[in-house]
Amino acid sequence: MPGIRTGNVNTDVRAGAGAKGTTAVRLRNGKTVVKGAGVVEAPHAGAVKRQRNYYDFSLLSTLIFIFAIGLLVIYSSSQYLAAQEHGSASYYFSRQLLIGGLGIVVAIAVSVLPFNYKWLKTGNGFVAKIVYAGVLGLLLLTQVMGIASHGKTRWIEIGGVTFQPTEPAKIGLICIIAYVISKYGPEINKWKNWKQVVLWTLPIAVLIGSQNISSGFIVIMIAAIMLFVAMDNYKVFMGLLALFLGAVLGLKPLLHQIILTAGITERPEHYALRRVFGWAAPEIFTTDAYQTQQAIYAIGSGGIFGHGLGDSLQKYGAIPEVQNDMIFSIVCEEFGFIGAMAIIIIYMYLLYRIYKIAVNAEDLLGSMLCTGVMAHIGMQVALNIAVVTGIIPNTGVTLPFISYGGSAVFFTMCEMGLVLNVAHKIKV
Amino acid sequence: MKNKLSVAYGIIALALFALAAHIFFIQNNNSDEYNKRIMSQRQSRYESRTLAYRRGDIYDRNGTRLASSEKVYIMILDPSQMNQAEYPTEGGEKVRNVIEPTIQALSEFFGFDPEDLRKQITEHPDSAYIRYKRDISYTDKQDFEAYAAELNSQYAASDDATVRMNRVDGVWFEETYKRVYPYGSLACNVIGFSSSDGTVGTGGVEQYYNSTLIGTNGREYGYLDDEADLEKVIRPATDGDNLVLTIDSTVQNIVEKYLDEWKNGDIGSKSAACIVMNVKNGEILGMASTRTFDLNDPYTPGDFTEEEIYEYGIDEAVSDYRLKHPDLEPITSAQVPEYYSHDEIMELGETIAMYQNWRNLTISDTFEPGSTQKIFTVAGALEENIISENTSFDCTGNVRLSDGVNSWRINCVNRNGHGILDVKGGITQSCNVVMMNIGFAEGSETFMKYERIFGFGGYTGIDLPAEANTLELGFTTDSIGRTQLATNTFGQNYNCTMIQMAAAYASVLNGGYYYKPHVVKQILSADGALKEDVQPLLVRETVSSSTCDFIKDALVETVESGTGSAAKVPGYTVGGKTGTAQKQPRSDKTYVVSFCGYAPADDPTILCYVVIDEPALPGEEAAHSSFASEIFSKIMSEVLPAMNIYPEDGSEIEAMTPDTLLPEDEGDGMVAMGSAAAAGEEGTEAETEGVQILTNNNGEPVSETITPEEAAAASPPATEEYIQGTDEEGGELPDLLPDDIEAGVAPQPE
Repeated sequence: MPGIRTGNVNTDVRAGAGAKGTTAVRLRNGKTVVKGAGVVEAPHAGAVKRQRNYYDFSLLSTLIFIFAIGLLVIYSSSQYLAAQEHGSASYYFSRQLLIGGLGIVVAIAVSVLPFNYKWLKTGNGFVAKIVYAGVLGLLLLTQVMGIASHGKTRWIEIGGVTFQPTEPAKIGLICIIAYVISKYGPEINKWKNWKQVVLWTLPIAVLIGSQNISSGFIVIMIAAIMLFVAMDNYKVFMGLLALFLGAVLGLKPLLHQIILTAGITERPEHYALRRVFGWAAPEIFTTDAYQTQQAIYAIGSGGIFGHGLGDSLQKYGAIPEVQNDMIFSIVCEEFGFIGAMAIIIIYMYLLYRIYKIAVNAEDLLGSMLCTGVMAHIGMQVALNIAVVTGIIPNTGVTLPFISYGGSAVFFTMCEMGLVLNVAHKIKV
Repeated sequence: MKNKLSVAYGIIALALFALAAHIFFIQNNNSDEYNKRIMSQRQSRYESRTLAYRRGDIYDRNGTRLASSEKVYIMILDPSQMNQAEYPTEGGEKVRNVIEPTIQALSEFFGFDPEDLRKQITEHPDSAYIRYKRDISYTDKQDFEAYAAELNSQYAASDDATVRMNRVDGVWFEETYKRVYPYGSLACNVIGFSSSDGTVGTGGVEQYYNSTLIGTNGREYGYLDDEADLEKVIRPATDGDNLVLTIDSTVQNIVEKYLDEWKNGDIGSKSAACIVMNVKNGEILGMASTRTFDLNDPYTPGDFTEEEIYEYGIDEAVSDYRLKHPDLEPITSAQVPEYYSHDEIMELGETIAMYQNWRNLTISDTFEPGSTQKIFTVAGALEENIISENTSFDCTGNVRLSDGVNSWRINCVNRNGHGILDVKGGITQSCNVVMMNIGFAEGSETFMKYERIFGFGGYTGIDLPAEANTLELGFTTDSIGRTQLATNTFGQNYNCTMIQMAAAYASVLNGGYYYKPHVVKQILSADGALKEDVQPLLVRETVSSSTCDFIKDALVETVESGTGSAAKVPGYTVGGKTGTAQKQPRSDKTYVVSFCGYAPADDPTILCYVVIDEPALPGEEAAHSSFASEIFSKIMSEVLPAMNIYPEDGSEIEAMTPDTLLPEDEGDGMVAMGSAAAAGEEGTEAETEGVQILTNNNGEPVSETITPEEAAAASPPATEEYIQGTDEEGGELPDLLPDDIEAGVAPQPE
């Protein structure tokens, strides 16, 4: 029986836990500051007098904390544009507060209600397949009757609510992969088994990728990381990682050289190619590189300590739609390197909590769900920062919990609810 | 699995650390450079803005607002912002529809032509500042902004994705002021008008006090402080000071009413003007002429007829041609139509007509004043004891002068002569011969000394622009000859302005103090605090109070029983002097008639000077001072009660009918004046106490010094000053003005 102990319970408690055969976890109403949890071998199950379900207040409070920081930054960065466009400085702020707040409520509800992630396994994974079929249906529906915005069909309206089905699709994919992996256990290493993961992933990856290449990429990466964690193989995955890193770091100078040599000055037709060209040769494709370039100016001008909250200059129209993908540049401008580092550390802690839950989850399904969510959020954070700093082309990846955007915020909150539910099933 | 989970987490964590390191790299290495870039981008975005000052208001002496600055807005189109909003990433995807919804909103709200808007926006895609419409009121601006906000929220909430892209943007309003004259043309020459931006005044106090009325523009600008924070600094505008005029709008209204009545009456004239002032301190209470224009719309040629405008155009074309072709032979007026089209001539003429319209006739136009001068001739001689109050003169109807080359017979107003007149009679009967004799007795030096003392040939220094320089339009002690001296004594052959005459009269009426005439009473700061109280400025003392008293008596008698009878104001005792001057060239038989009078008689306070230029009647028929006297009477009968000066006998003003004001012959014009029947009636009228009557109604002499022949020839004492026609050769005034002397045709000084 795995148990999670908070740091300040300390070693004596650990010792005592084994001796007295009692769990002495004092969660202290979740107020405990976690300095590092240790996994302790559970004592004899029979010796447990009273089993209580664990609740990861650390994760929840970190989530609320980072969301609050996000609100602050959204207000600071968007108030000018919001007042310009919508006549109210708090337009984006209040919408984010509403939807994100709702998301947190849903997350808490999902984590504590009779809801149980293990239901995914019900009827040979029937529930997982239903969820999968649902999100796939949504994606297909979007292709048919979606709302075009920014030239692509990414939005759908159901029952008066408009959202991007890409976000629930990621949840659906995580669920089905987690189910498949947990179903096979160690057998996943066999081709015929892990092949199924690939098969489940492909339709969603294709549907999403056709509209949004970067989201398609994230979907594939989530599946890949989940497989990596579940399988024994190192070499292949490490090879893939090396390939990816090599591509990211090597492609830019290579492409730049090609563009220069070939003397390409004509802007490509496809939006993705434009972004790639703008990324590789910003001095030629200035218009396509504009947003990223302005974001880099913002980051650079922040220096170590930043200009201070509300003192960004780039938010005054220099960076278009600054409250969305580029919000991290305003964080860097206003709070400097210190602030950016703080945000990154908070993300790392958040991911660490998910990691801990994955490690301690009651079953493989729970572990894999957490792995998927960790992969998702980790990927988004890393890719977003990479975009803002100009390392990879501008892809339109949002910064989880901080970027403005109803669908993304709501559904990532739902994912966190899932993780909290997994944590809640842990008996301590 | 746990290991691999740790590895996965580790890789993500490493990636994040790597990114953090990258951020550190960017920030550490490029902080300064990027800051500069942002600043320069920002500076170019953040244009500093001028905050307009408010031009000071102008009030009359009772606080009536005569000129004011209304806050209005200029609508600015910002196509660059519209395009920026449509395509945030240059050349990238279109994320908004701004231009069309904005055009639609503007044309729907303001009724602008959508085509024109579209043209402006598409032709200047990079401009951030197109002044599209001026003079938008505050309410319109507020309403439009609310309307646009409402539209935008509707667009944002729309179910239709295309509509959701619509926004109204790139329109803003710049605050400015618009000059407004609530009373239109009232006191237009005194007030003047200001340019639409409120920086330059043209005419009147708007011009003279321009530096007082204007303020200093403020500025709103952004700069980046040492921490690269954008600091917004507002240096507020300093509003201009307000003026309180000495003008009383009630008086001004009365003056304008009667001038207008005269202008539109049966006779009319080329022009007419009037000054009402307080003799005790030089404050101008009313100042107007028949040339008026709407201060809110000054750029019009006014009342000039097409012929007049054409004439102006011809004259202007001659100088225009000379200006444009300095090397060529100048053209003559007759040649103008060869070089200029009719439309061009009319256009030039309209401009000149416009300038003419803006002239303040009372200070910018000069004229030969005529007999109103006489009191100064008398005052100077009395002051120097050259004559006494009892000195008598014999008027034979003319004086003959000769310089050996030319000879003149200078007629009196009464061709037949007034006979024996004392000094007072010389004034009341407006006798030229008496004046000439006094002038000869004085000599040119003394005469000119008093002309200067009374301010002729100089400036009054009134606080209005474009006061005419009369120095060259009169003689000096050295240049004046006997003939000029003779004619100068009764106000011919030198020019003065109305304000000079009024100010000189005021100095006699108030007991000998020449105050600088002025139209501004107070200067108030923008918030209404008193900054400067304009005190009456005593320029000099003119003549002794005993001299003044004598003159005042004579002026009262002039109205009571002399040539100024038509100036009587029911219920009041008023004094005044008529003037009938013949204009140059003498052969044209054009006249300026005038009356300068005051009330009340015992305590002179209000002076009213009316001048009519060229009454529209042929020849001598125009030369009747009663035209001016009547206007004086009408104006004073309303101005006096308005200035809290009530009838001495306590009678009701309303009970008076105009008929009682006028000599009986006045009803049907002046034609009958010379007729015997009219003359007989005049005599009866004139038989009042204190008047020196030299002949009775039957023409019999009452004085032994007059022969029966003379008496028979003499007309009864005039109740009006007028010029009789003459067929005799040489019976004219000399044409000479100082210019002619230089031309060498003038008589030599004796």
